[in-house]
Amino acid sequence: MGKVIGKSVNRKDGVEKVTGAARYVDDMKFPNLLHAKVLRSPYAHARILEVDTSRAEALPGVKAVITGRCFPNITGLYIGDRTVLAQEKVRYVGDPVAAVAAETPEVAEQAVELIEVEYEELPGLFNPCEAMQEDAPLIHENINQYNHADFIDPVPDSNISNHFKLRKGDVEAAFAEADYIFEDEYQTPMVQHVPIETHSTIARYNLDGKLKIWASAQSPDALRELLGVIFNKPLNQIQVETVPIGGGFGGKAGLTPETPIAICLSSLVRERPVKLTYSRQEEFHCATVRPGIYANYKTGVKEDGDIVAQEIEYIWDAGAYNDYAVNVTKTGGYSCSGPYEIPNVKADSYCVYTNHPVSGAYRGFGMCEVHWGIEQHLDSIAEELGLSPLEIRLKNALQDGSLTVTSEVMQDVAYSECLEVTAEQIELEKEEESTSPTKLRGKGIAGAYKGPSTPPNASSSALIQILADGSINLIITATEMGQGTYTSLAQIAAETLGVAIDDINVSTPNTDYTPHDWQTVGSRTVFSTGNAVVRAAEDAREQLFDYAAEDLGVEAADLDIEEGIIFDTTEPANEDKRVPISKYALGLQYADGSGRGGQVIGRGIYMPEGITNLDEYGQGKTVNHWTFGCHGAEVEVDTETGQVEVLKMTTTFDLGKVINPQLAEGQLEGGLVQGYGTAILEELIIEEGEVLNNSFVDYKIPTAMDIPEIKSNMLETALEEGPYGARGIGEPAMIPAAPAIANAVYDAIGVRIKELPITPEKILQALAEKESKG
Amino acid sequence: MINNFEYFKPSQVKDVASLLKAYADNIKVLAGGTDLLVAMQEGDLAPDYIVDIKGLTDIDRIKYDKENQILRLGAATSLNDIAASKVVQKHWPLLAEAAQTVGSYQLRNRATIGGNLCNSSPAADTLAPLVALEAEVEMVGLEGSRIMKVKDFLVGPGQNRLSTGEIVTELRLPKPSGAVKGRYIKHSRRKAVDLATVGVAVIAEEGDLGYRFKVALGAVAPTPIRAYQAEKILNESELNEDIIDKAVQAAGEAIFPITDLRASKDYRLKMVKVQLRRAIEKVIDSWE
Amino acid sequence: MKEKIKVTVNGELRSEEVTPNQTLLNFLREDLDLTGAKNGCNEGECGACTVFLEGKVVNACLVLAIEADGKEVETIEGLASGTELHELQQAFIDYAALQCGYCTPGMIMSAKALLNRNPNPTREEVKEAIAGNLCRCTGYEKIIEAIIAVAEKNS
Repeated sequence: MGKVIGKSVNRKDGVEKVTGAARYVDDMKFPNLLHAKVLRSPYAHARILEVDTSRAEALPGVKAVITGRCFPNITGLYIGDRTVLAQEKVRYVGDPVAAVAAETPEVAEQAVELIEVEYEELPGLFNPCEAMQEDAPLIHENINQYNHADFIDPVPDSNISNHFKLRKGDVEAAFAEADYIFEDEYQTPMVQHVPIETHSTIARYNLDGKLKIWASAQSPDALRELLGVIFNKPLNQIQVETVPIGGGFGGKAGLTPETPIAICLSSLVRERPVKLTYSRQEEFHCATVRPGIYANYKTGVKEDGDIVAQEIEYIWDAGAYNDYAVNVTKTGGYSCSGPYEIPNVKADSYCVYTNHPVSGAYRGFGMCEVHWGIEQHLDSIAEELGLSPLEIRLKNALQDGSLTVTSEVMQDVAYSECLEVTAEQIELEKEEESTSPTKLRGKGIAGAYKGPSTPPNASSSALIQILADGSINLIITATEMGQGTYTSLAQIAAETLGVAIDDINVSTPNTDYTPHDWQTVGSRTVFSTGNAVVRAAEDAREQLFDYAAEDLGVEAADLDIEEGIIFDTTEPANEDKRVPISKYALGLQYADGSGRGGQVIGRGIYMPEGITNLDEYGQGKTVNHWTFGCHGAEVEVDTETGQVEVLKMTTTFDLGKVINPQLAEGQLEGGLVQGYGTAILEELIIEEGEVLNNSFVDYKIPTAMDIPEIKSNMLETALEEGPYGARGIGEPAMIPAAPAIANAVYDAIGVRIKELPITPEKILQALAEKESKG
Repeated sequence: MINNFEYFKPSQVKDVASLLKAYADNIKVLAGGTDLLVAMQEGDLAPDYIVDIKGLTDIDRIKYDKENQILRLGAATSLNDIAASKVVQKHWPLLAEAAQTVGSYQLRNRATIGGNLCNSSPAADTLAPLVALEAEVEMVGLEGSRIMKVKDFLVGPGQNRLSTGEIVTELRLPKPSGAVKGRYIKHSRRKAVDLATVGVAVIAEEGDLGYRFKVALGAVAPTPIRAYQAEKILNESELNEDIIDKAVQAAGEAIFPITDLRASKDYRLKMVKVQLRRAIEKVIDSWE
Repeated sequence: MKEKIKVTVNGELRSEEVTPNQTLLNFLREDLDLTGAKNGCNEGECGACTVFLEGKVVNACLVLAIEADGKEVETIEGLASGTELHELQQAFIDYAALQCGYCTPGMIMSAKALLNRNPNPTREEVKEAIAGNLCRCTGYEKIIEAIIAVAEKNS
């Protein structure tokens, strides 16, 4: 264990958050602030014939009104398919059509109601399986013209925004040799992230053309780059500041519409900042959601449980705009079989436009969706073959030397250990007595793997500034949305530098001053930014040692730092050769008052090495590291009401190196409970494109009363590339919760729920069907 | 966003009644505000006048009237006060139990029994118990007051017998003659802070001829309803599984559930039966 | 159309003008700049706006500011005394009972209300008491631990 790493130090942002002092975007005040409201489409799919804003503009207190015509530039992170406001068409219920900035929120809302829009309704496409057909009407007529990343493949003249193809081995031959072939279908609905802080932004367009943005944005740099495209601005004319974020989970990643809308409005009333905060209702259906999936599996196995071939089709309901979802579905594609070694795999993952809410990144980035099917399908196969859920997993689990579905060679994999620890802890084989004759107990496990799902060259950077008194500023653009970024990165900095955690202050991301970080997503921050911090700290040490070597007459290689004191490792007790880092913070000073150098500013950059885009068959190494783990669940199913009580859950993940046990455990628990929510409670109920449950009254997330008893286990199989061996954990912790619960439900009552969530009505129906079949 | 309005907080009932009479459809009564303000936020209601009744004397008082053996609950008594009241817990445990299932703790500090009644949602958790307990409601207008059974007061979703110019000032619950056992089972999607998919209220009062059952069901008809036939079956026979079965079946025939976001009609029908049986069994267990 | 109210907020008597349609939450956040209480749903479902009104926790989004006339309000900003954190605040930090922090002020107010009425709650009672405060980050476990730790320390 390190001096700082591996310790549960308190959060850097604890005091400001428990006292209410932390200022989130919506808490910020400006004397000349304007308030924005958005007019949204009531139709799922319609042509905009006319927008009349004259009555809104005439309302006293209204300062700016915009429509789609004002800002026609198109953009997107991975595929540019979106404008600030809808142009000629609306593509989902909630598509922004016009927006108003006014002196008060009340006036803005009244003004929005005065805008008249004439629509011509078009037929909607609500099922991706239908929308992907060749003869389906196009939701995006210009799909052939859209710019996209080189690893995204839209299908021309279709609603398929990305077709990811994976071909490994010879599937046909392997199926012919398989002893058994099993086929199965699974589905998950769209769900929402539900951060307690809704999306919020403040934008000020200055008279000199500079943009200043305060946003609850996970990715200040990505946001700035995309805004640069929309507004044709050099990036140094755009300043994005990210104050504390009230929960992100992927929904505040990339470019979300509220910021460009606020900028457009402010551009008409320069120097006046415009605030746009989503209502909870808007958050549910106009912010990002998780895509739905239709998953089809065909799996060939040998009698002993060895999986020899798999054919997979993933069809994603990605909603109206897919600028982020295309990469979710690609990730689903290149991770298609889960953490198992299968020699022959054919997979097609289709990202499909529908007239549903806009989907994108959500904790797990496609992995929750694909593991829902993979991990249940495995249990079904195991049962047919007379194997236990643990046996079939161990038989096929990825381990050192295994090849993934993309033929990447695995190393430092402890997936099997995760499975074994969990199975032992929940006593998977042991049957438990239920509390009542109408209730049945069951246990289940499910595994997961995930990599950060970034482009191969996604990089991070960090600066470490040593101040005159030896205190330190860590300057980064990785954002803090609750996951503990500031604290864990400060621990890495302190450990590497050889100082105390309290000596480190972490800056708030501000793109004018803080160095580039691709995005705070994908559980990549401890790994990628962490590596940059290590390098920045090492760079700072070198600078300190350079000064100290000369000053103390000691070889730089013999110097070390502990608790902020530089000392000679060859004679550590020599007080003459022990000096605080503050002595060299601003350079080396000589006896005559002159000096050399200047402030110690450590610079660290990191870009993963050895990974590239996949080839046309989806083969290669494109993932910078993988995290493995599993969940175990014990449930009690009420066979009369269909209600599932999740009694206990165990979560075991290999974190490589635990930087902060308490915070890491918080990620495991939080992820598990979010996964529990999707298992039991959550779905967007959408009818003809309209979200019917866009409030907390009918979209239920778990309360404290709902949570199971949770046991967490953290393994540490060091990742060679990771800072101190660490792997990402934020998202993985959510992934296997739902299938583990579903497998436990199956164990209890012998029926398999294949479509999330596991509702009481589905249970009762399945039980009735089972009974009628005898 | 809440439309602006003029706010009154009189200390006399007659002033409340005058305002209600004068502004008719354009005024709303504010008690706890937990339904009213949500409806106003969403723009479903936009009255120009609001009359806050919390300034009325005794409007939030729980009082046991010994002489008449009646529990008097001021209309603006909070659900937390009802749930925590020793006298309510002792003689009307069903009501205390039901009050505690509404919303969250902080919501129940505001939500009132009178508000729950006047909002007249078929799913309101206190209403099935009030119907089972044969509670009465006192309404006061300029012409004086009148008393009505809660069961008769409720007409349909959001509809009741309150006339223009009248407010509910008090709920009255007769004290049970003997020992009483009660059970309210709220069937909902989530364990806390949810609306009832189905609510089942069962009480059994000890009398000369043994226990007498009363059963009321919520969220399965336009108003909470008494399941008279089920009660009759339970009260006229020696209790056994077969009789409970019959009673449960009879209750199932008395209801008209609908399909909505929270559950299908069919599921509600099934749950009424499951939960009614469980409530009856729990009541029986508690006296044995 | 403004109405005068007198309200004691965190021990300080304030004379302010409010419009009748202003919620207590809006009044605290916009007029007094006490932004610890958050607007998470505006319908009494999430608890992020939980504050004390006359010693009882309420959802400030479902209270009119004008209703607080003559009453006492306590918000998260009034909890610490000087630079000394309240023991619940300290416990939330020590037990890592917060992540994004958006629910935290409301959560701590609900916890305080619980310990006021029940200094020795069971785990189940803690869960019930905070059921009206949605947290999307922590999974609640560490919040429950922090509250129980404070109760145990005082018993």
